[in-house]
Amino acid sequence: MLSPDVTPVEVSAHSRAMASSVTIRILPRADRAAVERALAHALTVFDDVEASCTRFVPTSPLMRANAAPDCWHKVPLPCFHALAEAYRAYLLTQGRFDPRVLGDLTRLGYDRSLPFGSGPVRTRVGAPLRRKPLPTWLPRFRRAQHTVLLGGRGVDLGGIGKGLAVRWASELLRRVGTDHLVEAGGDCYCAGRSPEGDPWRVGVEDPFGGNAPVAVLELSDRACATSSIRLRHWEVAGAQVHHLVDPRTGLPGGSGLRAVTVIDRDPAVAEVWSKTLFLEGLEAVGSFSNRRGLAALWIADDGTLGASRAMSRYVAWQRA
Amino acid sequence: MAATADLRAAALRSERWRRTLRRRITPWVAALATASATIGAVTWAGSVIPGASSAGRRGPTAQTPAAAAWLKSQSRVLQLQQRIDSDERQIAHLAGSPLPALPAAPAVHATTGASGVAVP
Repeated sequence: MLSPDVTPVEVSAHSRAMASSVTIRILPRADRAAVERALAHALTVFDDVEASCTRFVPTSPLMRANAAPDCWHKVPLPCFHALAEAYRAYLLTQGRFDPRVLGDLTRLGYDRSLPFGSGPVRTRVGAPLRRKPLPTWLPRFRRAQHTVLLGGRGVDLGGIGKGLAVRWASELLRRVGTDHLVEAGGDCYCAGRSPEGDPWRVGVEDPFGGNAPVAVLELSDRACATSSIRLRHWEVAGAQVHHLVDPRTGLPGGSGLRAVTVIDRDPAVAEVWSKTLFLEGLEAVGSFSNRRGLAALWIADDGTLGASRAMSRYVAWQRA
Repeated sequence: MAATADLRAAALRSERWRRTLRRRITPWVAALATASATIGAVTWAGSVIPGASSAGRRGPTAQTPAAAAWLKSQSRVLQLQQRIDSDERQIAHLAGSPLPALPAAPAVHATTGASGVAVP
């Protein structure tokens, strides 16, 4: 799992968790044994978050809490913090990010890990219907006991779980090396500098499946996350749907958009905003991100590239 | 990174050129200003003092050799000023506008995209 990489000082580790490949690269500032321990610990974070926060295993701590959302549940620490952070994101985005879309995803047939990327996916559920807006979310947390009361509805932590795992993994690595990169599929955190001494370069994937990136970002002590519908879309009653559900309607949102990438100091916050901005759709994504001062880059259905004002300083290259 | 470095280098080159140009023409402009003031004064004197100017007209429009020289020098100064302005506009463009696309994407350390939206 652990291997010396291209440069003599760099150490990297790879794993697979949360349906993504996880890669960590670090320029160590401590002895080899301490670095190896930190890398192993950082990779474990992804496994811990997955085990306690998955919605695809009925016996997971999250799903046990979801089964009776109006009761108090003792949950493992990662799940407790993830739920608390999800609620914080709900407040930060004024309800635009709402993990209570679990029922909507289930209704759309996304109640199990679908075989995305292996051809067209069809589910045997009824046509998606718009529902009434959800009531205000009022979960309760008891920090001392790590118990939660979800309050009325089950939740899905898919919109924040991986960003939190990246955050927590990076916090562990900081003790042994300030220059490191944690990459977990679309979510990554770039601490300090790359082995070349420059900021880390992150390619923004072409949501239409092209091999070349649509843009290259230069990041130092910044996180980036992308919400895209390239892989996770399927067919319901003859209509194409995807996994990014608008909590206001219960239906897939983001009209006119293929992908949105957001840069922030924190990986979880970047992930939350990337989903929130995606749900705003093509018409509002620019004005919304500029009003909020968010560094965002988006790709429309017709392939055109857009970016907020705050994004321009991170773009090292973009497709013509 | 290459794009940023190239742009930074281009901006520095432009800035250096602008400073050089300014340094070179500043004494020139000062000399011309002195000369034009002198010529203007002489021309004005020629227009008001009978016999001092061949045309006896008022102001720099008078087609005396001195006035023609003054106009020519003003035209040269104007050209130089326009060149400086154009260069400054280019610098402002480099500083404020989106980065131009390069022919090929630079190598990357990581990728962000659809593979990152998996649900835990």
